[in-house]
Amino acid sequence: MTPWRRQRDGSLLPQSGWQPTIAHLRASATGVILAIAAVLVRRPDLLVIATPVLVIAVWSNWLRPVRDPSAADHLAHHTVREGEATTWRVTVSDVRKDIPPDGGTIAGTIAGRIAGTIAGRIEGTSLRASGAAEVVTAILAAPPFSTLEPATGVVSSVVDNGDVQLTISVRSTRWGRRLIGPARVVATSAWAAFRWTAGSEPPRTVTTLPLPSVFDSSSPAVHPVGLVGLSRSARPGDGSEFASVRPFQSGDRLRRIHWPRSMRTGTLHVTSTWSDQDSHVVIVVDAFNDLGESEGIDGQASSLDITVRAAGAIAEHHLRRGDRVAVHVLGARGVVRVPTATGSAHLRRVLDTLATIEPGTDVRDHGGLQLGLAEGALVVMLSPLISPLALQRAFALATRGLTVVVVDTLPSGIVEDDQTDPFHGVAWRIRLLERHRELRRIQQAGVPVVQWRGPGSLDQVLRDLHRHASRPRMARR
Amino acid sequence: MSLTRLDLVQNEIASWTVDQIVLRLAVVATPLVAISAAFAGASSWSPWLLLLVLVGAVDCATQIESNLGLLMILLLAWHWGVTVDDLRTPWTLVAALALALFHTAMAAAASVPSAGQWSAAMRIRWLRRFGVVATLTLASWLAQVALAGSRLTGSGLLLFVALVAMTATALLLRAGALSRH
Repeated sequence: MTPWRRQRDGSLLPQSGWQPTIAHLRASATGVILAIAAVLVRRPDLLVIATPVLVIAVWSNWLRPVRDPSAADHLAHHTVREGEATTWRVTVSDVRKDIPPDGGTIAGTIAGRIAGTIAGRIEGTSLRASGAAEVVTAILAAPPFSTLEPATGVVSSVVDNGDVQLTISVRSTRWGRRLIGPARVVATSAWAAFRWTAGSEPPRTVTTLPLPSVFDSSSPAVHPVGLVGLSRSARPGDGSEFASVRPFQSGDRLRRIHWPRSMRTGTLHVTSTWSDQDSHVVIVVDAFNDLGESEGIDGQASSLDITVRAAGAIAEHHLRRGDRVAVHVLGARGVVRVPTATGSAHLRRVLDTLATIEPGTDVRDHGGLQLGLAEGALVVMLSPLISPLALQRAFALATRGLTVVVVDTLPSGIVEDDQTDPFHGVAWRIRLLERHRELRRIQQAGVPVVQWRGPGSLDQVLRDLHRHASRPRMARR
Repeated sequence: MSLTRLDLVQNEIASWTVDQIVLRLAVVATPLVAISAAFAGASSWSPWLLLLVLVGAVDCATQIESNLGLLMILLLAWHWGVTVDDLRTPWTLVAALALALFHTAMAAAASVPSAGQWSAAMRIRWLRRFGVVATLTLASWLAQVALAGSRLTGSGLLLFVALVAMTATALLLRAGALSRH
């Protein structure tokens, strides 16, 4: 609401945040000085030179806005996917149509309207009671991993009919949570003589959900133990996957009768199926560090980019199959775990959690993972396998008898030589040799390690695990 | 330190839009036109003054929100007053319009950030206003030319009235420009 100020004569005027600009000072000072000099030294040609700036100064003063506009900004969407855009919009409401509340003098109002009429005719626009905001400009700095449209983040518009809306499109190119703004909104009056700056609004938070990589797996689930889901169990039952055609037994549903076979053999036969069951998948995300340069969805991916997008893809794949999925994050403060659940709403919960990961904010060793897992759960650990802590956790889980698959998400090209640091490449190569030895040891301990390659990354290893699932396992309890 | 400022200026120039480039060129060119009009009116010229005006104009173009523009206008007007004696010369109109365009270009360039795009409505509005100012300037020049040939005698009363009018205008501008809080 516009604050009002009482004048000496008792009339009310709104308080204004409009401030004169350098341009107005220039026009006023030079106009008055040259005009007085022209009179004093009797040089009418100096008065001609002073005329334009003097006219501009008087004109600017005449159209000085007396009331503050109001500005309100909002975001169209607070949650987007990587590569998607949202719009930041600011609405500046001009208050030129306001009239003073009770207490404003009639004479003052009439005088204002007469002046406004003349000013309006000169301006060639609608009648106005006083000057008003004429050009509104909004400036929005681009947040990290975002592109703006227009690219400069600056939009300007002429105020014509009271309100003006300025829109800047913000495209987020990387998952995560980041702030947009604060934006600067500036209005100028006629001849850019007065300037008004809106109070800074708090920045808006936009959550960018990771865009899951393309992932698919045709391998059977390792330990399908649940009651629902699309994974084929080892037992026949009421499901969708064909098992055999067998003679009718008591309790079989009539709709399962296989009539061609029954007609041929003369006895009732039914189609039997494997029961559909779900499995419990636990995705462990290593966020101890983020290696490599991230250029967002359009460019090079860092290790955490690959990890997060792969985690989203695996979660999406299993949740669509009706499996139960849980997520545990290592090395990030605040985000620890997403409890086990299923369904499309759970996918959103998983992606929301992945978007809040801040790498390396909690590098303490909390000892063994307390996942609270039931027997038969499949643990998929996504890690660049640079931090020894992640490998220790994977080994600890495997020794407890759980099925663990480690997915290597280290991006390629990370050991390229750095021109500014000759030891950079050497140090990386030494670390990778150590890493190679660590991976060999953990594979010898029975934990498979596969490189993330998108669709089919886990097929071979899951098939092998499924084949060996029935074998006796040695577990330390 | 100067390198930092140079970098800032380079970044600033790199962000200029076409509209801003046109306006900044006008800021550089118009003082040169005004001083050239003064040279033409006085039939003499000074390379050092031309260089000074050029440097000042370039500085005004790069720092659009500086007070140097005010000094530039006063310098050019002072130079006009001390060198040009012919009250009926048409170069007066050229100088007046050049200074008006100089001020208008600086004000317009400062009204929108250097990276901001100008809409057609904004261009039309500024051009229309400048047309009004130019017309009034032309009218005042015609009146001045007419009065210059009429051999008016000096009048103490007229001088007093003119000074009172100027003082009233100055007070009006001061009262209007200061914050009303």
